[in-house]
Amino acid sequence: MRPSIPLFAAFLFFAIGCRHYHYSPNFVHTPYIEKKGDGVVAATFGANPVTLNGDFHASYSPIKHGAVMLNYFRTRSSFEEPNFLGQPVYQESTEGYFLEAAAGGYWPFEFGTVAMYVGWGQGQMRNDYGIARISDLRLQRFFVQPTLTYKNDWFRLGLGLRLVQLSFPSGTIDYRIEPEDIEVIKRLEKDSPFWFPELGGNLGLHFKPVTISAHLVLAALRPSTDYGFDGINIGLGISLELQELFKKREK
Amino acid sequence: MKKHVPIISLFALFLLLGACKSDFNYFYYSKEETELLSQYLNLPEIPDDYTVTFPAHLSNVGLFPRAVERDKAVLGRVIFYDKKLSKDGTVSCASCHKQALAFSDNKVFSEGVYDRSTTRNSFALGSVANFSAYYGTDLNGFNAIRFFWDNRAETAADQSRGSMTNAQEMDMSMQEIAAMVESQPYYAPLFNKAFGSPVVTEDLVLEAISNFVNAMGSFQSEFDAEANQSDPTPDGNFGNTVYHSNFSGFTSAENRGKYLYNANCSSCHSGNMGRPVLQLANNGLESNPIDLGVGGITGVNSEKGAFKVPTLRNIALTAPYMHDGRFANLEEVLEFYNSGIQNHPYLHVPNRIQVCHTFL
Ligand code: HEC
Ligand code: HEC
Repeated sequence: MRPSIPLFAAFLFFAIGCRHYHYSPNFVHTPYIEKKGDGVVAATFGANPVTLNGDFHASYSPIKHGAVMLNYFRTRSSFEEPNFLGQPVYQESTEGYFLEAAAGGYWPFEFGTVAMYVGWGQGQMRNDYGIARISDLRLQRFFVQPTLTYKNDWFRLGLGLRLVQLSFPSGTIDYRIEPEDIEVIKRLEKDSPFWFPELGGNLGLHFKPVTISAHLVLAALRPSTDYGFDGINIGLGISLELQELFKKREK
Repeated sequence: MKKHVPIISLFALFLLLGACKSDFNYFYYSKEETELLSQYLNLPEIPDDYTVTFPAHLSNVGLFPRAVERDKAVLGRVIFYDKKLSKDGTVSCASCHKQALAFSDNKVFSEGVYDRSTTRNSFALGSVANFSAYYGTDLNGFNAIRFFWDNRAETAADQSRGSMTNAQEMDMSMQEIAAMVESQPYYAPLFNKAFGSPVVTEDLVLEAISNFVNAMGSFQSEFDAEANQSDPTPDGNFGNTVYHSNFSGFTSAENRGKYLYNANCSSCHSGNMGRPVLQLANNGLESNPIDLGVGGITGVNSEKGAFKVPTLRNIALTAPYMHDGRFANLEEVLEFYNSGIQNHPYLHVPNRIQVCHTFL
């Protein structure tokens, strides 16, 4: 029972936290690559208490012990809020995307691989606070990610620790949004860049060449200061291991 | 060469990481709005926040400024300074309520359109702690302080309508005001922001200017700083307290003045410079008043010759004094309270009160 308490607490925190977000973590990908020529494409659909998101991943090993990956992430949430007169409701939303590339080395061992990736990406988080009031922040992320994967004929298990440096190089903000929201953004502007680890894992059932897997990522944010960061994402995904697909065809 | 690679890449990483300070751009008006507005007005890029937060010594006694809608106050401010809204295009609210003089005028009577003269001394808007906290029956109910020297306007909107349509002040009809506002291009974006539509009506003009007037006030004096740190004595009147003990930041002469003020003046003008204790009073300027003041409006005998009790914030800036500007300086005011009080059947003050200048 014990381990679920922090998770539950995290859930609660993010469920009651503000509903506009300036960051939302994509899944930590752990490519199941063991040799030159291996490749994976994957799509994952995620949700947390407030956002829905889609995550697309591709990885490939062009050389022995070397791999590259490309990740694309989209997140969205929307809700209705009464306007300042108390009545007609207007729509508010958060919408964001993220595109990143990484390269790294992997070393296979008996049941899987250890790997280390280094990546860089860029994205945008756009919040609509209703009645045409927008905040639009550009974000940039560096990461270093040690990764551990295990695989057998039926299972896939991957763990990755993504060490992140997140920054917000620019942004345009409508000053008419609520003062509390301005405060969050000003705080974020002042304190950027942010350094924090994100722990991600996935557990999959493998049906050659397809894997159906559950994903979880937790960002170790300091909940005491509100930057409008979303710290958790849970998803269900499907991935295709290209070497198996082509091997099958060759047969 | 090869051994430099790690150093160079580390250096490159350093450069990249260094480039991650944020530089955000906050805007309030759209590009088109800014372009249009800047042709006519000199508005700050991000408008001032008109939220008023009272010092603790005033909120502790139940006085709270009301929420002000920023866009309406911004629009109201533009109206306040707009001379086009007068018959001959030479007078705005600010002509008689000058910011540098705590929003009063340094003339006995102010000049309205066509050099016409007002019949009373301009009221110092900066003498009030904050209008929304205790003025206006719309915001503060029946016991609210009314507007004008004779308390004839119930709300800020009534007051503005009065000034705009008064023949001695701006001499416009409300229809003319609305039409003039409608015809000036810079009002469209401001109305859009304030009311979600560029359509101008008389009521919306009044609502905007009311928001601005209601945001006005003065509450950051040395007195407030001292009062915040001192223990008050409630005197039984809503919103009023008296500070009997000496203020540590005051000179002994100032504390002596405060003592005399508490003894002789605070029962009308309030001991905390907040809501006046009495809404109206006869302080004995005339035994046979020609300007009947409040009584001239209500017809009530005991109110003939009685006037609104003003608060005395920024009082050094707001000469001349009294509803008719009869006293050119504070010495004359104090001389009057000392030895000039005229007998009158409904007098609210003792015939002779002892005063000392140093506090005011
Ligand atoms: C021509 C000079 C003049 C102009 C223009 C003018 N005022 Fe006044 N204002 C006065 C005078 C004089 C009084 C006191 C009149 C009275 O009490 O009968 C006064 C009183 C007031 C008061 C009452 C304060 C109180 O505590 O009772 C307010 C508020 C005010 N003016 C705001 C405005 C606004 C807003 C405008 C523009 C719409 C405006 N004034 C235009 C001269 C002027
Ligand atoms: C009975 C109530 C009362 C008392 C006590 C009283 N006042 Fe007044 N005071 C008034 C009223 C009413 C007015 C406005 C009279 C008018 O303009 O016709 C006024 C006006 C003033 C003004 C002019 C304000 C302006 O903006 O023009 C000053 C200054 C002033 N009082 C100072 C004092 C001082 C100092 C004392 C104590 C020595 C004092 N008052 C005691 C009722 C009082």
